[in-house]
Amino acid sequence: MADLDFEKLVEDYHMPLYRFALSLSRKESDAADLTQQTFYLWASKGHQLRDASKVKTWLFTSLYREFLGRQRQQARFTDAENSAELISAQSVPASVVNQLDGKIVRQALLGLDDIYRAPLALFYLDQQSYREIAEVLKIPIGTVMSRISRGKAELRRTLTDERGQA
Amino acid sequence: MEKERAQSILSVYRPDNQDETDPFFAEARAELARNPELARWFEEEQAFDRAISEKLADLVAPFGLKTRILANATPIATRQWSWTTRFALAAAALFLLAQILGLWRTHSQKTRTLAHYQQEMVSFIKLDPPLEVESHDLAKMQTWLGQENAPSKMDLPPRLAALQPVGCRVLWFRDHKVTLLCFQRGGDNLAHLFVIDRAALPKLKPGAKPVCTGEGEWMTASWAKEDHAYMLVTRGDRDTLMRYLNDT
Repeated sequence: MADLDFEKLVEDYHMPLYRFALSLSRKESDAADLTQQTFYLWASKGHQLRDASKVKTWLFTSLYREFLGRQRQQARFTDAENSAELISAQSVPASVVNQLDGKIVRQALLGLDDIYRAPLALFYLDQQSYREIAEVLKIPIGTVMSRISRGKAELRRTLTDERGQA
Repeated sequence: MEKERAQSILSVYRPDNQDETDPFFAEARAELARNPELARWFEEEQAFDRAISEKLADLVAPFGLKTRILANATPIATRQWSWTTRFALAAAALFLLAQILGLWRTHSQKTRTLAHYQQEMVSFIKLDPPLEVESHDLAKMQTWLGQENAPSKMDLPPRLAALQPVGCRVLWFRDHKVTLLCFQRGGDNLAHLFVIDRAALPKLKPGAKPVCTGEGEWMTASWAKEDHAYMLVTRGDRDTLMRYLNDT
């Protein structure tokens, strides 16, 4: 993996990694630190990766682990997931979203519970597939589907509330 | 296939048919042709996903992050070498490192000019950046900036200090934290003040008159005072900007 151009790697991935980090940490300075730390990890450990096609997953997974390591609140994840009610797929037209300010949509995403925010961020911000999301977050595909489905429902509910208050 | 199962699968189908060839979705997609209600739901779901993605597309990394990453991480290359080769490589690497560090320093100094700083900071405010603290209380913001180890004890020109602050955030420029303070100056117009450690812009000398430069529709004025370098940015002409700095 030494053949990979580090500067090119940073050029290609620093933006999507930062966006993912921001969705996790909700704070720009922490997101910048997480992104930097991920590349630092790559610089020191990336050579151990044998499959060049896994670089993207390696970077996102490392960032996610770094975030979890810093947060150390996994217990809250489990509790939140277990207590989550089944949310009906209420319909919020795309036209409603189009009328909203980007900042409001961003805040709505950042306001979601951690277990929904991480998969949704990968889905919306980086257009990652369900398989890639499962690999990055180290969760089964079925869990990815349920978290994205419920996360979208939560997002719709928040956006509907925002629109109601506007 | 049950409708709920199909919905669950199709909820992870990415917009613009990115997953068209993935067999995982084949059965659920076939169900769309048989179930008009499901098809309507899917169409709306895809439109919703596209709309959310577009709304989130303006999320960008702070300027200087890439430089900061490259400056702080050097990849390790690995191979199995004999000890003599390793020794020779280590010696060569030390020599090269010294050369590279010298080059990097030169490059870093070249890209640490006031023009680069102006360009990057103005590019940033053109994107209408989100503020990390929204407040009218300057003291409160200074406390927060201090906690973030960003420039917080600044000496504001009196006419600028008379404006109402609206918020602040922290940026990066070549390993230095930059404070951005925004002030309301009537209507939707803001005055943006960037403050950075003076060491980041060594050519800006304290006591000298502000350096004014136009950057598209934006006008910038930069000056140094004690330990900080300041840059005020407003939309409009030079006179509009200098109105706030006549006492500097």
